[in-house]
Amino acid sequence: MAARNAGGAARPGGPNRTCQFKLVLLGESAVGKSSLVLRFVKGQFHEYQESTIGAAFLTQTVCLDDATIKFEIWDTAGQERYHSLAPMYYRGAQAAIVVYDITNQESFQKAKNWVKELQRQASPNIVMALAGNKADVANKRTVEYEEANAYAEDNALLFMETSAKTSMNVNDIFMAIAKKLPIGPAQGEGPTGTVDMNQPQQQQKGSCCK
Amino acid sequence: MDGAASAGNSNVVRQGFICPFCMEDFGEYERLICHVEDDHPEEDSSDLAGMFVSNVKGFFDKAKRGIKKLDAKKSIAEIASNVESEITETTEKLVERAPLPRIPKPLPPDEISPGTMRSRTKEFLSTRELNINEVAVRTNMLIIRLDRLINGGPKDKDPIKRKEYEREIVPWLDDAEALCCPLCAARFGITRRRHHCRLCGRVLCHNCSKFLSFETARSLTSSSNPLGDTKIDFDEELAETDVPGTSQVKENGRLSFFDFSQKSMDKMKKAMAGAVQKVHSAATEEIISGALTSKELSDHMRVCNLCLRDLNFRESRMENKDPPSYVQQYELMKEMIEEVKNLVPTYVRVVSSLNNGESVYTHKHGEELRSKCLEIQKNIDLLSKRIGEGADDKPNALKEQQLRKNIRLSAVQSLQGLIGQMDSLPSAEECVNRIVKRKEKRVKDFARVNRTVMKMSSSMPQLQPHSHLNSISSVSSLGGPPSVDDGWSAEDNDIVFEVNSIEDDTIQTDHPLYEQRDQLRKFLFQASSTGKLDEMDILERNLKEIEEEMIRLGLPC
Repeated sequence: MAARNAGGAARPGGPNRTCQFKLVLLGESAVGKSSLVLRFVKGQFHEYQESTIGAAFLTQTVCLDDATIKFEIWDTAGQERYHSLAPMYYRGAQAAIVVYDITNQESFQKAKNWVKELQRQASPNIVMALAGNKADVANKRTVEYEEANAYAEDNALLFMETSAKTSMNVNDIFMAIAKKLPIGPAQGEGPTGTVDMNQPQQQQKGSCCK
Repeated sequence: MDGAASAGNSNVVRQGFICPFCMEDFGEYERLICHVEDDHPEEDSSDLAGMFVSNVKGFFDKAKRGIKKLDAKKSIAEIASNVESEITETTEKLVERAPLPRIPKPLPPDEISPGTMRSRTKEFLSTRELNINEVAVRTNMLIIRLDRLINGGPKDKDPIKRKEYEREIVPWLDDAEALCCPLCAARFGITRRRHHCRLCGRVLCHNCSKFLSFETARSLTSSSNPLGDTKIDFDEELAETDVPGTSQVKENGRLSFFDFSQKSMDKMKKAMAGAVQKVHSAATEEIISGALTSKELSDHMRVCNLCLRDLNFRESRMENKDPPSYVQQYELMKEMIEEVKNLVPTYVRVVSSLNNGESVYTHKHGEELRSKCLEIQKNIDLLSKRIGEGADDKPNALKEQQLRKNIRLSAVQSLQGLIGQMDSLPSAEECVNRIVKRKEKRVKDFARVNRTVMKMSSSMPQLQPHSHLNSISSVSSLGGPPSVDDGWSAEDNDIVFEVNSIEDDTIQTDHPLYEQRDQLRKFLFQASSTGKLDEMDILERNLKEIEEEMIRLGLPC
């Protein structure tokens, strides 16, 4: 997996490094952004999750084997009238999860629009992930896995089908993002015994832990 | 996954209009937007140029927004001072990046996106079709009834028998069943009498029904004559005149509601005069019941507004099917204009070719084309004049007149444009002169090329005999054209061509381009003699290309 290699090469810092990353969730309303975050942060799931107003802010810390990563998660409101708020949340974000509902083709189109907007206006180094939520109701799906996967590959996005309800792939998608994130500029010794091919690229990317 | 573990978090979920930069909750959309715009402006890049551009852009945006916000009451001076302060502020900002004053952004409307959409067109069409079918069936039924009502019935004018016949064709609704008029919901009583629509049998009040004259009804049923006297006369008022003297004033007052043409007013007067006479002979009980006199029975029949509407609709559709004569004339005119529009560019090309002294087109061609164009233009002018003048007094005569005038105007305009494009044709002699001049110039060019070839021939001796021959031929061709100057009309083009071909034969013929050129000239000649203008056009272009190619190769043409 490319992300793993990049991640491995990008961890030249000490094992006890702590990095903070701003992560933003985007997507149409009622696709399960808040549920996804709540599952990740608190391990909870509410069947009748209330619609988010403005944005919700949560944090979660994850430990990788060589770094501790603190996610500052901005869970934006999906309703169209709050669309104009989104830029201030993805401004300066290092990661973004664009969520769609696999039972709703329109939400997938909306997700594509979000990806386009991020590619245009967000930071160029932003790590983007596409999450097809509600995978537990796959019998009602209207967005095929292959279709979304192909789209994600074309746009160099991480892609997983998730379910906040069954917690399928929820931690995994955040982990995958964490591994893809650049963990600071090279300090001290690099990983020994490996040819560090990604190093120059990573230095270009390095934008955190200022 | 390499040993990933998520640590617990202590934070409570915060939700609301939180600024992502200072984590303050602003509680309102608008306040959050303002706060972010003012306190956390977007910094594009570190380079000065980018900063300057973004600042200037930001200034313009803000100024624009500010101006938009200003009330109409605010004076221009205020605006100026505002802009001025903005300018000074921006310049300050350029130095020390001071935040600009807060300009609140309007809250976006609740419904920006239309949300889920579904096409209802099919549904609509199916519903509509049902409706249309219903109306069509109903209209057909009405027409059939109308036909039977006006063409059948008892020969004598006995109103009672007539009524019986009418009820035979259309079952009438029982009077007792109708307590109020189904159209205006007014209760029937002594002052508001019940009337039956002769077409659908419903009971209506007087105001909701009209009288349809038999004459009109006949034109409605005979679909072969849609343009005849098909106008439905609203003869209600005619019937009203049955009521003598005193009520006439009132009825006249009501007339003003209807936009009556002069014609129908005249009709009114006549009918009124007749009505006064009729009243004397009419049976009194008929007046009381509001029924018609025996004479009027043969002329009119009561029809409810709904039936009338359907009939009117059908009639208007029939009118549309058969457009008035001026529409046909207009179509013809449009065709002619198209034709001239196609012809004029050809003519322009011919004229320019003749002016250049090219021998591709003859003067006769130009003449023919010109006369053809002029003839069609004359026809257009005549036709449009006829359209423009020939208005008649129809219901919407005013509109029609306007339309006719506009057609005429547009025709005149397009004619002017076309005539403006047509340059004058050079006279036949002029054409000949130009051709001669062009020939001379060609010969001169040719001689010049020869000289250079001669110069080169010292180094390439095998070329010499050719060029020598060329120079001789050029001299002979120099003397050629003037000798045919007198009596050389455009028809004598073949002579010119022969001169050309002789000349060509004497020059180098070994190069394939010469052969091609000769071939093309022959084709051109054939095309010009049969008058195929488009082919001539193509051939001429080919010829030019070949000549250019020859010049490029340094071959004398």
